[in-house]
Amino acid sequence: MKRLLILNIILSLVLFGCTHRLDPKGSLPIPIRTTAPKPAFYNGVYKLANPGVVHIVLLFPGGKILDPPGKEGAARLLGATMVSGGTHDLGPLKTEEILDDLAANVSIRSEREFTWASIDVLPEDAKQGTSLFLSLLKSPGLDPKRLAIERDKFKDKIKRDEEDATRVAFDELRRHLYKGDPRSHMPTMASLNAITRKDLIALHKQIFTNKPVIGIIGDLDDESLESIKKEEALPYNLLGIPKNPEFGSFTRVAKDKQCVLVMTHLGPSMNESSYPAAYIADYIIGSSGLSSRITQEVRTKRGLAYSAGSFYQAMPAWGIFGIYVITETKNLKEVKHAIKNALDTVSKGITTEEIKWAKQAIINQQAVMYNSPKKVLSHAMESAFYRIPPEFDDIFLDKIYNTTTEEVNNAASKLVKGPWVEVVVNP
Amino acid sequence: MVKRIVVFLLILDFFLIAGESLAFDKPPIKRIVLKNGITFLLWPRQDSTSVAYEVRVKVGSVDEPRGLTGISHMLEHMMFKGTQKIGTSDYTKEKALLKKIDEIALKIQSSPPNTRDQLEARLQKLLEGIKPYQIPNEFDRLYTRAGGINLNANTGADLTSYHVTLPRGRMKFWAAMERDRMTHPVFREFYKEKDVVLKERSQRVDASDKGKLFEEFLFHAFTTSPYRFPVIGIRENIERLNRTDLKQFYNRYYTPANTVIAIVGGFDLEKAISIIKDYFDDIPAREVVPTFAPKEPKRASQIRINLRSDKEPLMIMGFLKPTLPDIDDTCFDIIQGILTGGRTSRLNRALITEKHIASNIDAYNGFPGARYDNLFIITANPLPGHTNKELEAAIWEEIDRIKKEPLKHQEIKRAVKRIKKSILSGMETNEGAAGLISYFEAIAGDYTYIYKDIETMEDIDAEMIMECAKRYFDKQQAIIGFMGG
Repeated sequence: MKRLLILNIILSLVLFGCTHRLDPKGSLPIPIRTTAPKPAFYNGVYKLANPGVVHIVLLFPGGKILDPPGKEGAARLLGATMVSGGTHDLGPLKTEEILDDLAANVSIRSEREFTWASIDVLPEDAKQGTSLFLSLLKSPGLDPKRLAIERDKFKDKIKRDEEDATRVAFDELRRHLYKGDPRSHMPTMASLNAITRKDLIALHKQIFTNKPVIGIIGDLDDESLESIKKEEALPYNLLGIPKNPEFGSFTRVAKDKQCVLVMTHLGPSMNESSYPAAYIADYIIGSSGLSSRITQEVRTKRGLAYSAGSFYQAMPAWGIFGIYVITETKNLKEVKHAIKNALDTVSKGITTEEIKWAKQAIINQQAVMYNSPKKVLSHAMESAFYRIPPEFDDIFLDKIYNTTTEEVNNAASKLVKGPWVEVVVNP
Repeated sequence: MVKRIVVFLLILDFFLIAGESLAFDKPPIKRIVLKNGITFLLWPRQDSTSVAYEVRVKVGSVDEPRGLTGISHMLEHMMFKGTQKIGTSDYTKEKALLKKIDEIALKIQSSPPNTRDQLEARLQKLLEGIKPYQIPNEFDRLYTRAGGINLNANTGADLTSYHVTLPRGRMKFWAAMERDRMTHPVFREFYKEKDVVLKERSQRVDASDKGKLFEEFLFHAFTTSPYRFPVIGIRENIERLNRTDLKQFYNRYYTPANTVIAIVGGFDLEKAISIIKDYFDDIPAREVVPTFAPKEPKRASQIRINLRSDKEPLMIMGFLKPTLPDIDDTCFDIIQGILTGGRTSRLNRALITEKHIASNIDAYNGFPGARYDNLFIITANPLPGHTNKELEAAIWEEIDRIKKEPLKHQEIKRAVKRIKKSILSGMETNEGAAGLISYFEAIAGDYTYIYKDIETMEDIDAEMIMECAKRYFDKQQAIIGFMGG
């Protein structure tokens, strides 16, 4: 018997070669689940090791949402002018001379609810870089000439953005989805012209005197680290669910001749029990790339567009789900038909097999989604800002794993059903 | 796509500039060349939870025969259509139908347009008949299921690149997928994909005046060099592509010796070497056919392109120059930093801060590729109320200064320091590192060119840069493109 076994082994080696190659269509090897890297959190600071460049990243509560009415664009203009306008003591020319001598990059960028401020600098210059960075944040010069330059650059960007059909489509979408809410307000030539240096000084006080979430990549000396910390946090209320979405079809024209179709409505927030099911459903409907239902229907089967898919963004208080296609105007009717077809098949049911595939993909991708130190850090810092508990990601993956076919189909049928805010650019 | 390559080259160019303070620890990269010629670069980073894979094939639009522009890009799309095992439910039956489809498609191409209706109807019937044997996007689904992100590819003038990032511990799976794709690709769903590529061309070029300007600019900037043709292809050429041409092009260029693969991230080196040998060593070697590219001659006079447009204005200036490893290419990397690297750079300060006439200004060295002599380009957008002409005059002023006045030591020092930091930043992600080392291995023939070139640069001084500027920044040799304004 033992001899026979040995003979079998020898025969199999001779017949099939010494290597057993994997069948990529077979089952995935374990482990199926790996966890995303997380920064260390110690003494109020998120930290990641890095042998090279030092990055100091601060997240200040308050962003574009704080733009005064009629002065939309103020937060972004403030960030740009803080960077180019120098510190109060040094002025713009000297400040940028020093920054370029250090090969340091400073960035201040407002998003909807918060503002990122960061510097990256070589380790040997970290102390000097930190000191200058903090001066820019605490006492910016906001040089009037630089303000004029940044305002003109911003106005030029608005004009160029108006040519871009995709950008025009998403701006229009926000106008209707967030109707009557500051989230729908966009900078215009008039709003930019109305912003004064005094407005920027007031806005600076509102944002940059607040206690930031602090993140460091690389080595920073204790003294520099302590100089960044602040004690007081101003109260900040997170945004709530949009109250008056304006559903219906809207059209716009852009100079770029591409035709863009975008449609959206509200979806579950990340705190709702249906969030994991909606996440899986969106993955299958249109956000998983070539394998998604919409991309298959519009691009692979019918060759109607190069870019097509869905998006789902969930916040603590609300979420939005949407569909987009970039095509040629002559194909618009056919594209709409293809989307309807894709959504109809989703509402008829997503199979258990497809859901199993999506769950595996989502869980496996956690290890690679945050594939750079900056992504790892900013994810942790944003979570802290939104008061999302550190264990949220792990619990979320467990929930994804345990979500049933029925739950996914329930979520999917809500996502694919209207009413929609629909925007077509260049119809 | 061209822009993507340009942006990538911008990052890469930082590698080529250096100075006395550059003291990099060479990363622990293991190079393995298999007996069939595939080159692997392996860089293990033990604490990483992911692994980036970058496959570079030394083929791009410069290798395309006349009348077949866009074929390397079309092939890139078709490489995601699966293999004899992936993407099919019955390859034997599918293969027989694919053969019939090819025959009819070739007949249609060679028939007069008024006799094609019957053939078109037969083709449609066959395309319907083959569907039951095809599983669309299965290649993508398998990678996605395994946790793959950044699953994509791009085609440039010089190279075609395929990349994916997977969780650690999936190297055997990656090797099985890529071995299958290298050895038994099937170009199925060709005709639908051609429509997608035509839509991509519409999106990137036909609907975009900026895309049109770049296409025109390259066509006139080069007269004999293959860099004159667009990577995405000329519309009429794309429309005429067929599967037979595609297979011939694939067989000619997708050879093991034309392939460089970089793997960077969380893996064990010994295990990786073993997997590579198991999966790739027995792929048969094939002859590499070199591409002949005539040298671009010096032009007799300046060329100007004016594209009428109702859009916000843009201008480009270009200068023909040698590619790497010519020392002048390295000088241009330094010039790039001097002109547009940082807020104190000469063009930024002159056009944005002092004259207040531009909203944006950039310079790139090595456009649109680096296998052959290429261009140094400057692009700029005028602010409202100002014109491309004003920008051009202001740029010439700064160029003349570089030609006449030796650079200050501080300017060179700043540029070098910025480069040092960019190198370190570029290597922070596995994807960035895999992209950089595989690029130099494929283009320069050796990724250590990065370090060798740094040594060369230590000999470059202000005088050499000035001489280089005099040689190539010649008004009579310039190519200038205006869009609007």
